[in-house]
Amino acid sequence: MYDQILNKLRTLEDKEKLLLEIEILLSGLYEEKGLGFNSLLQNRIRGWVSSYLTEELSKPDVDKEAFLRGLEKELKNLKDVYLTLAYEPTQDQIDTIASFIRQSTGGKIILNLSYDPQLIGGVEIIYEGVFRDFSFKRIFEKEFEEDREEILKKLAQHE
Amino acid sequence: MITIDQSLIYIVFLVLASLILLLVGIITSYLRLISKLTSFKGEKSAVDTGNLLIQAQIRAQKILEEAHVKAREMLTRNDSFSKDLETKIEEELAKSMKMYVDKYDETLEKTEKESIKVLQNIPSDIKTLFLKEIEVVRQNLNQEVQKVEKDARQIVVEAYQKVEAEVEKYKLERIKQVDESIILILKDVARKVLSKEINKEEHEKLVLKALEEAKRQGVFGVKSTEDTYVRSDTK
Repeated sequence: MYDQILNKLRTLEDKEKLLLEIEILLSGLYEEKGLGFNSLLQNRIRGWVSSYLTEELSKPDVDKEAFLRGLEKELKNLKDVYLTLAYEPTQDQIDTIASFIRQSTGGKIILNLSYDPQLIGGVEIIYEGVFRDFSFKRIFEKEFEEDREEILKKLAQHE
Repeated sequence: MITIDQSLIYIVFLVLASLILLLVGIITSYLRLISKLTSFKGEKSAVDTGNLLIQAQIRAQKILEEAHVKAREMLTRNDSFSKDLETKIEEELAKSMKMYVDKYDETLEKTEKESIKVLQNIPSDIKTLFLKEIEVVRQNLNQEVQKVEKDARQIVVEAYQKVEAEVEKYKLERIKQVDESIILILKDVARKVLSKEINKEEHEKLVLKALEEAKRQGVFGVKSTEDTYVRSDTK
């Protein structure tokens, strides 16, 4: 039921925005005898979210509140995948990364992205409490330490 | 001195003896005269007492004068005797005195010579002793100086070695710090260069390669044997 909208979410910002929108809609359910809800749905929610919710909530036997609460719960149950990148990716690149991870984990994840140029390249991953370093920094530092003496010798030769 | 005293005593005894003898003679003459007078009185009672008295007086006077003369003679003889004795004693005294003075002079001279000799020897004795002591002191001082020199040299060497070790240690530490700094600088420069060299597409490739490796290692739950990834083009 919620897969369509959940698949569209990529990052933590997306999740928090949607949660906020759900909060707005829930609060609008009981204002002006429900008339406010529609107004909010049209005016206060992002276009694609509004389209999706309008379509889903117009289905028969769908309780608005229950649906929104359900969606909220699903959102809160999404697993965070913390990724630290060396650059700020484009939206397309974020989509690619999210798609890959979703496929790898089984779907219900959300990316928590951060940026650290020190990584040079690659990524650091924290998922389900486990940290893994797949950055170029690790390789770079490892190579530098191994060749440290040789580098210093070459520098000494050039003096 | 003892001889002089004895002479004087003898002289005094002689004089006293002479006087006693004289006195005895006088008394004896007087007693004879008295007895003659008594006997003359007895024989001639009719004799003129006045005349007898006068004659007796004249005789007594004569006797006294004779006694006086004799005593004088004796005294003169004693005087001359004591004078002789005195002279002799004086001579003897002078002789003894001279002898003693000579002896004293001799002894004094001898002592003086001895003293001078001793005094003359003292400096050389002292000198010898002093030189000996100086030599001993000099040797001791030399030994002490050598010991102090050795100790000082040892201290200096140890201090130098210690300082050298510290300098070496400091040098190594500084070199290590410099090496660390160089490595850090090189790392930083290399990092910056690499970061600038890698574009966004290459970054994406690196990230996806990393995610593949993570999947292969089972970071996302299930270990994968696939090497490919799926790119999502639509939202």
